[in-house]
Amino acid sequence: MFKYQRMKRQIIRFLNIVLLLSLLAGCEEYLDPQVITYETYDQVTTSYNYTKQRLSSVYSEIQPGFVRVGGAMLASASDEAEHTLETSAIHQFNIGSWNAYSNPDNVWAQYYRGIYKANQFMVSADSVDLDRYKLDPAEQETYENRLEEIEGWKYEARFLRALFYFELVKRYGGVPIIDSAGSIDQDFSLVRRNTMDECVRFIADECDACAIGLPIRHGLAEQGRATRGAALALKSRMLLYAASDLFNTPSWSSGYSNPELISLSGDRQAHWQEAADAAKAVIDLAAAGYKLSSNYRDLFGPANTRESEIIFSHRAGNSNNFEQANFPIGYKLGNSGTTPSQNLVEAYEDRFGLPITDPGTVYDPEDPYSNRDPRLRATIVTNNSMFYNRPVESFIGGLDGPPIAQATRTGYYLNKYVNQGLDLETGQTSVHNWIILRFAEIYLNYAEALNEYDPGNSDIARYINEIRDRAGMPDLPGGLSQDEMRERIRHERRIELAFEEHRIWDVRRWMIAQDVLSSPLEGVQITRNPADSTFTYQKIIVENRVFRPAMYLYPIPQSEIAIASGLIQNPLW
Amino acid sequence: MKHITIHKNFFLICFCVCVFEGTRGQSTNVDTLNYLNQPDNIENIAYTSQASWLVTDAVSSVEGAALGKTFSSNFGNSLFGWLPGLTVVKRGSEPGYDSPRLYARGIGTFGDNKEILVIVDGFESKFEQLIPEEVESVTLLKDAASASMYGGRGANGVLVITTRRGSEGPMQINFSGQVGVQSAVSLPDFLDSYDYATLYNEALNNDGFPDLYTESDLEAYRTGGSPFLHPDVDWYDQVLREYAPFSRYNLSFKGGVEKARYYVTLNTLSRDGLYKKTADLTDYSTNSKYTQHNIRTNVDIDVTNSLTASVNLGMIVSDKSNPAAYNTAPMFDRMSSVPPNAFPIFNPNNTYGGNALYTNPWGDILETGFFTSNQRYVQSSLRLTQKLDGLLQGLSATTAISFNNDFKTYSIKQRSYVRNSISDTGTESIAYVEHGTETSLVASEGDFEQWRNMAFEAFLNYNLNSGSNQLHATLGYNLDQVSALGEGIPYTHLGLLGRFTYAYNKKYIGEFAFAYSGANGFAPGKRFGLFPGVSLGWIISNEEFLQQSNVFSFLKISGSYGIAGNDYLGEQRFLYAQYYDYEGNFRYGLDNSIVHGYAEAQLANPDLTWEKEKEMNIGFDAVIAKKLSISIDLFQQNRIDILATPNNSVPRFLGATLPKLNVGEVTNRGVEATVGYASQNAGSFQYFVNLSGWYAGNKIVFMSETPQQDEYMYRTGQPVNQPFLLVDLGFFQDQPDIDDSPEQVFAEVQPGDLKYEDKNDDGFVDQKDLYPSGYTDVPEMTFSFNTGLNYKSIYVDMLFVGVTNRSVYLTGKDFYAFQQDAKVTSWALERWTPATANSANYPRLSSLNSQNNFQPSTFWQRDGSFVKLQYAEVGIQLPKRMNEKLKLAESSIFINGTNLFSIDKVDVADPEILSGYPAVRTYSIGAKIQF
Repeated sequence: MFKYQRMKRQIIRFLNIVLLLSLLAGCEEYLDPQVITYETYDQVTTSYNYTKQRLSSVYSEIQPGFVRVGGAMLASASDEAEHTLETSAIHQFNIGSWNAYSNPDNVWAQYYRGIYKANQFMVSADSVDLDRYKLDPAEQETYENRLEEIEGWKYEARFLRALFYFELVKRYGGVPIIDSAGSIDQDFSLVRRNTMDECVRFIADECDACAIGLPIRHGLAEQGRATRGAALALKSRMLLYAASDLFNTPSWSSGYSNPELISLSGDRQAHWQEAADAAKAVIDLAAAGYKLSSNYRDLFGPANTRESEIIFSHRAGNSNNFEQANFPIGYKLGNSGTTPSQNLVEAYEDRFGLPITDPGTVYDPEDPYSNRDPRLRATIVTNNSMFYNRPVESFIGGLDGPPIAQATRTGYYLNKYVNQGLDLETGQTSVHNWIILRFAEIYLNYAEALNEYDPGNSDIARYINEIRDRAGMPDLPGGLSQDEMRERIRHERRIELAFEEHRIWDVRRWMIAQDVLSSPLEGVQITRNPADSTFTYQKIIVENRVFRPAMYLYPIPQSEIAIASGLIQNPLW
Repeated sequence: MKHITIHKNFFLICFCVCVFEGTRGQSTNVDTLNYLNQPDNIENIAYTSQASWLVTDAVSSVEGAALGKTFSSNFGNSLFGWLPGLTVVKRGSEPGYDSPRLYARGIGTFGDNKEILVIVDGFESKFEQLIPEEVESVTLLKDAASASMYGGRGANGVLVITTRRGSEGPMQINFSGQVGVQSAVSLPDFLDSYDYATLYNEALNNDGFPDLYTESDLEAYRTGGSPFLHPDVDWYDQVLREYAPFSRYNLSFKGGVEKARYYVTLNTLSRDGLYKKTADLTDYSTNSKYTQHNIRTNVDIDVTNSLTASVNLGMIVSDKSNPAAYNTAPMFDRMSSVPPNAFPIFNPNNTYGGNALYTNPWGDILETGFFTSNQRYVQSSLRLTQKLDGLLQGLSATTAISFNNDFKTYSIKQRSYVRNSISDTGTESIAYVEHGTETSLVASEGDFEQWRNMAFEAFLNYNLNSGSNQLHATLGYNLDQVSALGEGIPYTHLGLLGRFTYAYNKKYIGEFAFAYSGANGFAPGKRFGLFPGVSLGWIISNEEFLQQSNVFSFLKISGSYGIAGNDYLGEQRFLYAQYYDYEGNFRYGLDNSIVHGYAEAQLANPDLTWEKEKEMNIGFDAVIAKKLSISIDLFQQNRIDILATPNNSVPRFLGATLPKLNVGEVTNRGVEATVGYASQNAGSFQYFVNLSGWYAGNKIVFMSETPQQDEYMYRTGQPVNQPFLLVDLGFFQDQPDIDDSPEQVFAEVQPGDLKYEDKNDDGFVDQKDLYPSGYTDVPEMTFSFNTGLNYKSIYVDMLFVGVTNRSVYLTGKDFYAFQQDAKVTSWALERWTPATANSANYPRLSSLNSQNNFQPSTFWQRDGSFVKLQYAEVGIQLPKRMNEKLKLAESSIFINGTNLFSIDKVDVADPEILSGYPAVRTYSIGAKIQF
């Protein structure tokens, strides 16, 4: 009985303690997470490694052109090609089903993301904590190297920001220039688009500044990072675009009330001269060692990172996605993908430099792909040409031709950048390096600008002929007028830079898009004559295409205008 | 499955006539007298219990005993139909993977956490493996006022599960046993080799390819004369058995002496999978089986005259074994893929058939090893109740601690094996090509899951009952820590909470409840919030003018208003802090080496807070002539502060990844109603009917959507998870029809392809033409009809359940012909061909992964309404004489069937479980004995 009483007392005491504890325990410290499972701003910005990785993240916003829109190349939104897969968003361009609400190439947010990250990087790159080296007398050299490295990184970020702005300006005209990372609380209705003048000036000046800060070449281990040449080449392209018709002929916009957003002011000739000078500056950058590659085809092969023609490129890991997308349908895992157009095929000259429409041409409609500019075969897979392990059969009833669903509709398949040597079935892969800026383009930029402000200058033909020479084509004829030369330069640009994301912008800035992009996209229907296994080629319309003047520039996304009411929409949208 | 047309009017009539609340479950047999909604029943509500007449907010409840008649290996499934306001959406039928989604009053948020909070014996817990036998009652706290004491966890409703306890008296021993079989309700009806090959040729021809199967191939398939080179295998038939057994046994002891009361139960449940038994056929397989053992001991000890200690200990051990994979999903996918003519089960040389594309489903079951899992779940608590009448009459204090621990380990034994594809060499011999390699079993034991909850609470309670005044007050403190695997930091809640209920003369009732509670997912200074609830009730039947009424035995109206929170905001915790994360990468250098990118992640939301539900409820309860009970609740919920990305207020040119801000808003309104009738005569014939229906319809009011081109594209204004589909206009009849129609951008179409509506009239059918169509798979309306009778010693009990305003979407290999190299069902026999253009019920066939016909469209959407007979049970009480002879207090035997039929419109599948492991129907016999 006594025992029971004692136990009872103990239990009551225990209960009292528990009750008391419960009343005391009501403090918030239970709710403190105790540990922080994430990196803080200070940890991120003072870390050398994180800082290096943050720059990587800025670089990662560069988009390779292999699968730009809905798995398709931008070439399929120009007169270069048709994309086979019907579901790809790229078709919206060609059927005219795009607008301010729905744009398949909706890069607005992405490039502004890159700009934001670059801005953030530039303000905090100096916060890297290098005390470990600074305070150690034995590590002074590392310390200096790191300081220098970080200084260089800031210029790389700045170059990338300029590149992203260029990507925006060529699509949208003047865009808001945001040169510091903003916050969510600001009044967005106050934001205005900068004028075309301001945007071009900003990009050109930034390129100039970067050209001073960036090295001419990087050490082997750093190869692939932005260089002085890249900054100058970007400036060249920006100024060439800026001097072109599109940005100097506001009349296309039918009385648009804000021409400053889409057009430059000032003396057109001066723009051309500036553009020519900018291109010449790259050509004259002898220390960079740029030169045309000896073999056109190699420029687009898996080992092209070593080509001295390439000024700036986007590198990727080993993959065969591009081959899976673009191998002809009859090859295992092939999906046809980008199928070049008859429009483009016809543009290739014969091997003596004559257009195939010229009465004196050696072109033979019965054997249309022989005796042509060698770049045709390097760029396009034609019927009955060898591909991987057999001739391609894009004729009716062939292994790669209609009526097989998803066979090419143009009669052609893509060759440029496609690594024919890969066995897809066993999963072979290779590196794909997407060229952003290469030396041949600079030649073309220079010739084009020079022809406008100093026609007849011997440099014009000289650099075009260098490109033709490398391709195995004869020189341009002498005595061309300025207009004739302009057509030759445009032709050369179309052929040389096919499938490299130039045509879609070139036809806009030359203001020929209303003709070129609204013409039907053509292909060939190929019939094999069973008797002698020869082929008959019949031109067909693959797709009727739609281009309205509004499409010279992309519309500013409606979702942005709805929030930032100060943004003025582009003309005709 | 029978295809019976249901008229919505049928539902509407039912709905108008009836509906109610407070379903009283039945004990072993049908006890109609106990059936009606009795005002003096005790309801287990938030943190305590109250007499039913005192409850003025919205609750519904069911006794555990009622739930046992639906055989299920998951407690959640047996709740279907019993709790007005509770929506049960089945997610699967495979034992161990059959936990349903439970929603109180439908869906109230587009936030990540939509499901109900589950409380077992006062603490946050899991319900899956409880058994009906150990459950005293389940109460659904539906409105914000009733859930307000759960603070930041209560907004989605609370399921309060209370387990059984002992009471003073002689020991009662109950034993029950039930054995039966399960069979699949419906399996996909795949075509045999001849039909498959014929249709495949047709599909090839449609795509411009020549026939694959020659006339002689087809002839061989038709006659079956060449079983190896022209096999015809029904893989479902090969792998599954028609009936698989299940059983459950329960033994419980209940009673009490002066100082102690106890309830002890032992339960074992076993459910075989539908796979054939394979363990004995090879060394590398196991039988598919689920077993579960439950033990519960709930003891109350009077330590002193004023101090009671209550100890709850529930232990669950469950084991699952499965050949080939953790669950059956991959195997069902394979059985739905491998064409009947792909290869024989065994080749002439007795090796397994197979080819480069597929493994052999039967070989996979027998040869690829097995998976077992073992789950141990402990629910334990100690509660001390000290009466403090010495200080103040009616005062008491309670304190309790609880540990809940759920731990599951996996054991994997895997290997690969050789299949051979065969081909005819044309020289009377067969060529073999080997696929796969023979390996030994490799074991892996490292995988596990866990979930645990540690909680503490302390309350002061005061009950005053003096004549016309009744006051019940409780005030307390709680601390709760829930941890799950992978969450480094537990979810911690702590707070002050209380409830004050006052009733005057049993006529006027007022109640105030609150929680001032905090959670650790928020920034310092933003962690605590007040969640109040008020409710009022008027028991009109106790007014003098009705007291003499023979009509109204009970009549009450009540209303409530409250605020509850939802602070489980999704996978990512601590959104108030700025995170940095890997983003993109960059390659450079001679060897193209990669440097991963790192960047500011989604912007922080320093003001992060929980979702808040503001809810108003009006209730009406009546018992008429002591026979008919009616109960109706009407509610309106307004959920605010739902996390949404501010797509319509922050432009993208900012460049930051937008944060999630508390800006979203959803409204949800509805009704629950119940009508019950019970014969009150004490004669040899008694019966009852109970009909309920409940509706909850929600609408997104604001979610900061990106501006859209057309009004119909907005999610705002639609119910949460509203399907957006292309609107099907039938099949293209011919080329002119195609030429005259808007271009469909998905693929080049042919006659026989699905034709969709160009909703925005832009001349193209594309993603912009997705139109809000049908309902979600969470029904807006649920009905239940429970009826039973006693005639002398025989009883019958049935529960029908039904849902409507629900849509399901048919997708995958069980429905899509030849997609992803899979096969084809008999549905495709109704395909479009030029000859059948007018009667076709399925698009033209294609051997390609057709981009047009399998776009999300209304063609594949079905009305998901159904009526099912959840269970039917017929039993007989053994005569008294026989019981006396056997020295039994009571005994009965019964036969039971569950999921016996379905009336629905889906036609090609079960409306609840469309594909994968099928829904099952069970037939069983059992006995219940009380000593």
